[in-house]
Amino acid sequence: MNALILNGVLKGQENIAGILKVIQKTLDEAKIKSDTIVLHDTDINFCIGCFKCWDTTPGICFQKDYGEEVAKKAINSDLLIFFTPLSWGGYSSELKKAIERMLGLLHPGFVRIDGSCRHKTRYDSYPSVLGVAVANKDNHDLEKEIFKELIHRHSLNWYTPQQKAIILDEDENEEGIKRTMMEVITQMEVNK
Amino acid sequence: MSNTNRALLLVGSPRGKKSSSTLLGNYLLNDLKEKGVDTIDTIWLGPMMKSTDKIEEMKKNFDNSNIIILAAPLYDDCQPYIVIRWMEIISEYVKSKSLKTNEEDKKILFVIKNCAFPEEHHNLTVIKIYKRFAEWVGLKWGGSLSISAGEFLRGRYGKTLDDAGKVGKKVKIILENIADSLSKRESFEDKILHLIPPKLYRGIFTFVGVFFNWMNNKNWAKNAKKNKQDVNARPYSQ
Repeated sequence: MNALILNGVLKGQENIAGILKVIQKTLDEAKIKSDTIVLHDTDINFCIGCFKCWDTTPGICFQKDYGEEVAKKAINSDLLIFFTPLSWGGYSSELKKAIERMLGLLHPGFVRIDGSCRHKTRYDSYPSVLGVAVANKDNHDLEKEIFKELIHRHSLNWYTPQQKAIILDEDENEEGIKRTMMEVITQMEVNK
Repeated sequence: MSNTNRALLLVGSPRGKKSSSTLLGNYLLNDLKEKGVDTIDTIWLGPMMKSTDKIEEMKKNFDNSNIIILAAPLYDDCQPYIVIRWMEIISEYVKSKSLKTNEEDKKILFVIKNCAFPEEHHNLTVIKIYKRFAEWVGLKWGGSLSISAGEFLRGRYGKTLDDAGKVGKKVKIILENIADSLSKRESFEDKILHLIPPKLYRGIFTFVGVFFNWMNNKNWAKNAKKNKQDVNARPYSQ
């Protein structure tokens, strides 16, 4: 079992980096090998919507930067963790930049499932997704619900075997973070 | 309350000028102009991100406008990166300013977004995110227009709404109604516009939807083949 953590913290938000350390420690204890990419330290351009990853070099983005490595690591992981400050219920820009570059992991064709159009799969299997958003005192409860909805929607389109979203408070103590993470790992059965 | 209405268009499509977002945003901006609204500028967020000077200019234009139109596609169920980055920049910027809190005097934010999928539910989450953002930074929610099956407008091929025939006409009427509301500084509703009627994907008409998907899939395979590629390639399989 291996997990890829996409750390979408913005520069200057290092105060929430401590939470990530506890998450990494908890994964270790659950015997889940993890690899973390600090996205603001990498050179990744955003998706320019050219669709070359669909019709010119299917499955591969033409932009030659770290985005290619992120996509390769993501599809070969069992669990993908989106770590982000809660941004109006959505992702931070740093995290979104990396997510966009995974477009080629899906097939451009459409398929209809449960009354809804989705892209077809390119690969036989996709990683489970765990969204971890860090909230501060200014975040409204509604944003927490939106984040859960976003992870759910995103997971449907990514054929994830398991999906879960959790929201941690920025001043949450180590015990609380560990407990939440262990519960999630058990519920998602990702350590089996 | 200021007597002059000044509109700013922000295009959040990473495709830039040749995009459905530009097409729709420009049409609305022109409608506003015809209704006496001063149009300040159109800013493409992609190029803006790469220049500190352009970011500063955007902030000035933001200050000088009271109607802000954001036109962007749906990427991975939410906003494209460039739009999220813009939201982060503005939220940081307004912290240092005292924006008007009186509902009448607040800047209005109107959002146009389009999605390739034909069903409306793909658009619902992102609207909630935009609304939260508007509230957070002190903007009045001016409503939204969600377009499903937006690829039908062929904006990425530089087409106009006139080129889109009946579908284009339908879009124009709605944009004119939106301009009417915004020019009076009134909010519009959260409107959903289906370019492919949903019934074509349901019940006895299901075969039409199946046919659209089949055509779409066939085109992608053909385009890849033209480039001597296999559309089903799995380059990262281990």
